[in-house]
Amino acid sequence: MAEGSQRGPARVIALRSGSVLRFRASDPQAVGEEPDYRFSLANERTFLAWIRTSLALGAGGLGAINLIDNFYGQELLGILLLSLSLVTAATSYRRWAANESAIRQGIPLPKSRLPQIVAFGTATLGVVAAALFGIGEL
Amino acid sequence: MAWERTSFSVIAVGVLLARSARDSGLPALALVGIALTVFGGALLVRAGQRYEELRHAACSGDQIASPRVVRMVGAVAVLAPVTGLTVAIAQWWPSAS
Repeated sequence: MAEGSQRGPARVIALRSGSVLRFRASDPQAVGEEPDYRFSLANERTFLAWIRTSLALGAGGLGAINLIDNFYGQELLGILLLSLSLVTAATSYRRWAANESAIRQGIPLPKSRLPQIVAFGTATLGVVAAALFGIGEL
Repeated sequence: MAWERTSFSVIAVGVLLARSARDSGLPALALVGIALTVFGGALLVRAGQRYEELRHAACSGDQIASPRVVRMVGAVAVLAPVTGLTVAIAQWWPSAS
């Protein structure tokens, strides 16, 4: 294993299987060696996809608050969407950094809860929106 | 293309945020929306530069990853919902209390 690879993300991954514990991600270029450029580019594209997802959720939240009228609980729905947007954006960089470090070290990619959070959160918000619509109609 | 799509998303959210903040009577936060829009435009220009950098790096075997730009985009993507939440709570709080 390359020198210094036990610091930063490698050590964090060893502490808890696949999860990144620290709030601030380490510099992924501090470990391992330069990988096949296709893997780095694919990781970067994945990061940008998560960012666009976050921005879309944020736009939905702002739209719920300002663009729709006479919808019961629109502010609550907007706040929940913006909160999910914040969580997605905040964890996407850490995911990118953790994946980049793993790629550079040739170790398995760390597990991430981000897909579960976004999928469950979006589904829940759909149910909440439907419930609010139903309550508003009553 | 991924960078360009991201740029357009940042611009769209910036415009939406500026409008929401203006309608909520928070001109300071509207400036954040305008700043996001400008940043999205700058990112669009950067996307073209990034393409050239990647093409050169792929041919010469240089480093591909660009953590600095990634961090910047991540920070901006966090700023957008934080500002939006501030606007939303500012609108919702007076009516709830």
